[in-house]
Amino acid sequence: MNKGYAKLLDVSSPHNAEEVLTAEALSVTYRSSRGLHKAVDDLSLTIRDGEFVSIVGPSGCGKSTFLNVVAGLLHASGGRVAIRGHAIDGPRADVGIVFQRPTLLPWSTVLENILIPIQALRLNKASYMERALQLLDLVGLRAFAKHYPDELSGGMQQRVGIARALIHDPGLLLMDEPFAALDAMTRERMSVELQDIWNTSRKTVLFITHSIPEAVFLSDRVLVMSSSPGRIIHEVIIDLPRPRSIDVMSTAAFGGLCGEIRKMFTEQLGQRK
Amino acid sequence: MSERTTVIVYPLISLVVLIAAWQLSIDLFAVPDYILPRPLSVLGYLKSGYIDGDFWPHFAFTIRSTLTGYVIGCTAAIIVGALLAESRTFEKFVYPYIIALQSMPKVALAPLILVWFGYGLASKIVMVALMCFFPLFVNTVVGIRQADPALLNMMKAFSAPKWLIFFKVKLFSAASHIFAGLQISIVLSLIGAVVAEFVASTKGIGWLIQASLANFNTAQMFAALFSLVFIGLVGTRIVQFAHNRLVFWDRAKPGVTAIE
Repeated sequence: MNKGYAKLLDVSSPHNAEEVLTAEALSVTYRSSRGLHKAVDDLSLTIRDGEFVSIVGPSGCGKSTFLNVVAGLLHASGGRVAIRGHAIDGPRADVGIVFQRPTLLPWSTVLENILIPIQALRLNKASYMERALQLLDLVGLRAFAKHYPDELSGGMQQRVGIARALIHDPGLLLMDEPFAALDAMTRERMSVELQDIWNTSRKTVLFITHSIPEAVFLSDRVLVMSSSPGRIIHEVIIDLPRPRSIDVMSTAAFGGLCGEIRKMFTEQLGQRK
Repeated sequence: MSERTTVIVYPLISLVVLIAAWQLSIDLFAVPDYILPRPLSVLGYLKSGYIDGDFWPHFAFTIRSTLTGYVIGCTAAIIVGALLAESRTFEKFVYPYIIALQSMPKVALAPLILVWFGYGLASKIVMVALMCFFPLFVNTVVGIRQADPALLNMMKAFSAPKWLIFFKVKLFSAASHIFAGLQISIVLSLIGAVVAEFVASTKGIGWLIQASLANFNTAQMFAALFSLVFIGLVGTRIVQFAHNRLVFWDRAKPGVTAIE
């Protein structure tokens, strides 16, 4: 890896950058048949402009619930959550989201799928055509613009999902375990590709995952979430130089960071026993 | 033998056997003509009907009422179905009555419709439209309600307005159900047309059957029945073809069953 190139792109730790997402003492309570269930409790965090932040936690810890609140699909029961100072009261035009499944329209071509947010925001489709093609270039699917989703592999479909989330140039990109449905090999390759995409776009990203190595590989900061109640219990700064190649995963530094996060979970489990 | 030829050849063989058995049983048991006509006399009526042209006015009348009623009934069913699936208010006010009307045998309405719309084409069209409406209406509602929640959620997350969600997701999700309904409605629309012609008419294939009864002309009845089979088959085939062409993303699951 070219050291100079790495340094050029190394603009992490933007601690004085603008706050994009802020959550203060956020709580989300579900009413279920077994009574009230607190999915998220007293969750506070700040994500600054240009940061890639991951939330890792066991399944069912409420990390996806939190993401749905940020996406404006769920209402918080208490606390405050805001994007650039504006309290979230519904889906916002400056947020892009990548789901766990690709959720593409099977009756629309790849290109039409990517342009969905443009139509949803009542923007002019024609003027975004070029950007759509550029994004297809970015995710390596230019040749598949006129194809239908079922002609693509799972990994390719998810890349279309990423391009769709970026089409309207959102200030914040939400990713809800986007690679969870992929096989292990594809998953690793997608992490590398996502990092490349992030390096070119420098979006502010909130990434939800239950894979510790995936979080460490991609992020500037990893937030560890505990389950019941779901809250942030630990923060790990990932200071590995960028861009990171897949080899970084076999370094001692990488292993150490993963170990630190893993320890948080085992400690939590120990406490509960 | 290729699959195409087997599709044609095997049914053709059974047809020949059937006709032979038909003719043979008449000769063997000396069945009188007014109970079971001979295949050749049925063929004679088909020839005089369609080659000499005696049947054409009736054929045209039935086709016109069936087709017009079908288009009106199906369009109404899709629009009302979409409104009902989309609007809770509309559902609250209208749904109980639609259910009540659905449980009534529509053919029982035929005399009333004749009183209201006269003995001509209009009453036939109304009857056909009424017959087509319900299965397609129910299928449209079910199809729209079955739209993948993940896709709806995605559209919402990208701030899509309701109309865009409807035209981009719900309508396409319902397409297979709608086509299944369209197919059932073909047969039902023929029933509607024939029943209306039975009750009172001066033309049509249904009237032809009724008229044949007066002088026990079963051969002509058979010829008329075959004409109905032909119309039904061609109509069903056209809808099937359109279904396969238009709903290309859903080819894996062709057997969507309709309700009613």
